[in-house]
Amino acid sequence: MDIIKISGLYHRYPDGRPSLEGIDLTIARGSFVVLAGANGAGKSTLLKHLNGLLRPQEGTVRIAGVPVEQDLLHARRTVGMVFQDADSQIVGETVSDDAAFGPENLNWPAARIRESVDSALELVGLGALRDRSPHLLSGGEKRRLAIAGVLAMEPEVIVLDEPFANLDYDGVRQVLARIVALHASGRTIIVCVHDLEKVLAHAQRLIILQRGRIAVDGPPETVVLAAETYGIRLPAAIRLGGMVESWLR
Amino acid sequence: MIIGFHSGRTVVHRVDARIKLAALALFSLVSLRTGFPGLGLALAAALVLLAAARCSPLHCLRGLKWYLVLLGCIVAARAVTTPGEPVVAHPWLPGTRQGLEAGLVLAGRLLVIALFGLLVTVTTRPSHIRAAVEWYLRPIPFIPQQQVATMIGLLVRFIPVILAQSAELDDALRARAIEQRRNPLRRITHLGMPLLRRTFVTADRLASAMEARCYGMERTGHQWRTGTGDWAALGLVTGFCALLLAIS
Repeated sequence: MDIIKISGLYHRYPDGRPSLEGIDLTIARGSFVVLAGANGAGKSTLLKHLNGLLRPQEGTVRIAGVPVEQDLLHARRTVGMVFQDADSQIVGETVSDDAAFGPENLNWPAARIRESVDSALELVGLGALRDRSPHLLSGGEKRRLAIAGVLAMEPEVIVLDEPFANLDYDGVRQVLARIVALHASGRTIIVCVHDLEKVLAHAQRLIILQRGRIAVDGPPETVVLAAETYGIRLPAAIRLGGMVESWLR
Repeated sequence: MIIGFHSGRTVVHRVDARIKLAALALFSLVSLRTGFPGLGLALAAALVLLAAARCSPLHCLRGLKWYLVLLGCIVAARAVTTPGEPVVAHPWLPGTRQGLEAGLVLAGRLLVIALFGLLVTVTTRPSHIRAAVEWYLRPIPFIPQQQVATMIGLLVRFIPVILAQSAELDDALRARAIEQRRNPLRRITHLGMPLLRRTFVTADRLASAMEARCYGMERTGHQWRTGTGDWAALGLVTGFCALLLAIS
């Protein structure tokens, strides 16, 4: 069953430039989708429509059957969004305060908040750092805290915008391991990247955007061959005639 | 990094944040009327409480070293500018006894208030301080206490981020020989404008991130649990303040 259904979605920037032009897209519950595209292809704009940060100027976005503009809270509870810049996403003065921010906004009882925060921090491996100030965390830990902040709201879909940006090898592996574990636990994952190398081995579907339109969409092993046509670097392993290997091996 | 919350399970950690803030306010007011004996007692109490909270008093004083330098300057300024009987009969050491005493009392008050403030900061979760501020603002009409509390929280969270951005920009400017510019106004502009721009961009991203996490007016409030220990602590602080007033 599809958890996200987008039809005829158009969006223009305030200066009139088009950013999305007629997007039709469905995403199945429990799938792992990689959304790729060069800078300015419209990836982030599309993601912001999934939890109502942007409303459709034309077309519809349905989350679990409900149009986003009809029930914003439903959209934001169902689709958790992890932004590229973890530093400007973390609002709490300590790690656990930040993870509790979303559940507090949902007005959950204190016991439920405690339970969901504990579980989210354990899931991303930050349980031991719960009292630490976020600005003392490493880049990978900050990114994992941003994921925990979203996980604590118990969303079905997790959308990650450039989750590996500015991370070292170890940081990439830490974040990737959590994303793969979340997918294994049944969540729908949408990862937006402009470098396929790190995540492609885990994806079930690859969608490439170009100038606000879906250029290609399908299984990664076939779609990836067209990547360079759309300004995305072909992973080195494929260039050499092999298959992309997981960074977790 | 002493000026930040240190988790722990000591008696001081367990006291209700509202009582800690009330005690700090009460103590700050009382210290305005306290002389040398009271200040000595208060200083000893602050150091003992810091030790009881598993926070080394020596470590705290070391962390306040620039504050202590400032207090030293206050004492020197008071000693030099207050008329009275000279401490030493030397033309190069113009300090007066009255000035020195007034400066020491003032510096002592500021030091003791800072140490008690530090005790509250070190032993209280920032979210509890925020909730306590919200609780105290609740009876005041026309003040959106939840928004004020959120703003305080964001301020605490983002000061280190803005400072880090400022240091990064400063390094970038120095790498491109900003020190060659003699006009300080131009140097400040080159640092200030990009820093402001980055701060606004960060604020914009923050607003989006908060919206994505359903930020609104209806939020789960802090669950206060005030026990007999908290009331006993308030009683002790009140008694201690009365003692300070009595001996001063």
